[in-house]
Amino acid sequence: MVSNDKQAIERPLSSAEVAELELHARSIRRYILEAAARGRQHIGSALSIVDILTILYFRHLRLDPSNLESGAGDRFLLSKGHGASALYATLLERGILAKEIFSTFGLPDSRLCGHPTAGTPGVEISTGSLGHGLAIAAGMALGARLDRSPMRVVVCLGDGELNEGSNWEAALFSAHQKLAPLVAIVDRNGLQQEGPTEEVASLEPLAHKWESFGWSVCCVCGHDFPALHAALSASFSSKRPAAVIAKTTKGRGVSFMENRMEWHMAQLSGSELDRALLELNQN
Amino acid sequence: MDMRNAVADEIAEAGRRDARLVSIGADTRLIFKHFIELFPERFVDVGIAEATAFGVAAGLARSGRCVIVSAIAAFLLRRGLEQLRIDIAEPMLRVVILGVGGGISYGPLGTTHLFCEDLALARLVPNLSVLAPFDAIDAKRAFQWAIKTPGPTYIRLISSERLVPRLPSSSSDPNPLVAEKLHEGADALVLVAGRCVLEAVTAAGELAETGVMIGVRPVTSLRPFPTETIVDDIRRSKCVLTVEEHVHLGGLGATVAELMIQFSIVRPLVRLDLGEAVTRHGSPEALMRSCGVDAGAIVSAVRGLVASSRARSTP
Repeated sequence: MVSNDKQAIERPLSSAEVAELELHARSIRRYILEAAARGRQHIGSALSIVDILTILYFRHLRLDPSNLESGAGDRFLLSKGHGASALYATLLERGILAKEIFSTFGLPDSRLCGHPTAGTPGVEISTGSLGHGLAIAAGMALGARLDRSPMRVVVCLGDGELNEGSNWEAALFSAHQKLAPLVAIVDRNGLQQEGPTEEVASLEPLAHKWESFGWSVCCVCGHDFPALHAALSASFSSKRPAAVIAKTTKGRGVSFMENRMEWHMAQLSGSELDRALLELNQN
Repeated sequence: MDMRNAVADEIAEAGRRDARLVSIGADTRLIFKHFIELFPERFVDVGIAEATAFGVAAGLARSGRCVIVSAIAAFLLRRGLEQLRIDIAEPMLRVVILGVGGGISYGPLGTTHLFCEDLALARLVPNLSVLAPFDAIDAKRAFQWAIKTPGPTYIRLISSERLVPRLPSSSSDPNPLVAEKLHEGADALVLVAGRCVLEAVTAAGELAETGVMIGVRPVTSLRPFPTETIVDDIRRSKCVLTVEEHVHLGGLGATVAELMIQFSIVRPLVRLDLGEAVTRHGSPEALMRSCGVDAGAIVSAVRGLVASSRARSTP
């Protein structure tokens, strides 16, 4: 499923491969919803990144789930820590996080926190305070270059997270150092806690901002596997740090949650879970 | 010899011994000058971006690398506190932080550059060792200790050119965490940190001329704190004076007061420090004098303490 062969990674996805990724994404969404029925979670911003995490963990990241401790594989950092639920569910689907651990998520006393905490299998760094991931990713990419390691570093940022100035410090630094392969995926769902990003502190023209900082930029639909695949393939072969601005829908996959502020953080009732799962299975 | 030059040599030496060691500046290269000459590819300047200096350090150190970060102390620790805590200290990464110009070093430049609460802030960061050396030789030893110790260390470097005279009996290879006494005497115990150490030694000389003999124990390591030694010193003393180039909260005096309560040791205790904050500018010498942490203030405080303990012991 995961190939280390560069050409295999970069050729377009076949329709069978897209179908397989869709199946993984559906399972991951189901796990997220089930966890949100157990306890109050960030839901909308987890559902928006499911397809991004799916294509990373099932196509692009070179990882050995049975030997993560070796430190040999690629690195993924979820800088927008409030997407924890999506990360845990993806790690479960990928066989990195045990089902016994995930099935407690949302319950009191679970080992899994509302934001990723280092020490959890598959979780590289603790995130939750926004604006930390990109600088750490840059340090990792720099370290890989010094060690002449082929390691690739991917960091997922929220669009609201880009309000934090530390991102732009790290963006400036990464471009100056020409750190590559370093890929920052922006989950451009357009909503932050208190409203649309363009009403809180407008980010547009966002692609131009990254370009003007010296990054190569791809803008894609963050729910379109072939498009994400092409963008990531191009980003990994870039000689500069690369930003993928992935236009997503907060709450993606459950119509009554999509673009609805009230599902930023919530708990699902039994009937809401049934409705959501029914819809997932019909799609 | 100045602390920054002394440590600059040590950084280059550390780079020689450890081929993976990387150093990071934030538009601050002077302390890395020898290192950069030898290993230009292992130095990186993040620009005036202190939080990013710590973030990048964390990313580098996660693969087991030792990383040295240095910038102006006030900007580095205040701006980067969250990155230091979450990204470096919690996972106990090997990062040595050299805060240049701690305390009142940059006094003439204005209050933005003063950093008189750095030790308190650093002590609140879990897993972070906190060292405040008192002269260039002590700074060198502090760095040597930090570079071979697991987990992160903050070292406060100050602008101080003068070496503090050691006692003839002092060890040639002292434990950097338990600084040796610089003056012996039973009338009062002076526990002192950083720039004030030289003042305490000067005061001890003046007091000795009038027959008052004080013990002077510098405290370089605020964490790990040399608890056993200090508790033992206090138990043997008649009265205690703490002196520091630091605000009242969270520094040496506060630590000593907490220890005396914890170990149920009752002694008269006077604390000389910079109060709540230093809101004036001026040379370090002028500020030490006006804030009451110089040799003259130590002499007066000791006289007062000794007189009141003598009055108490005479029925």
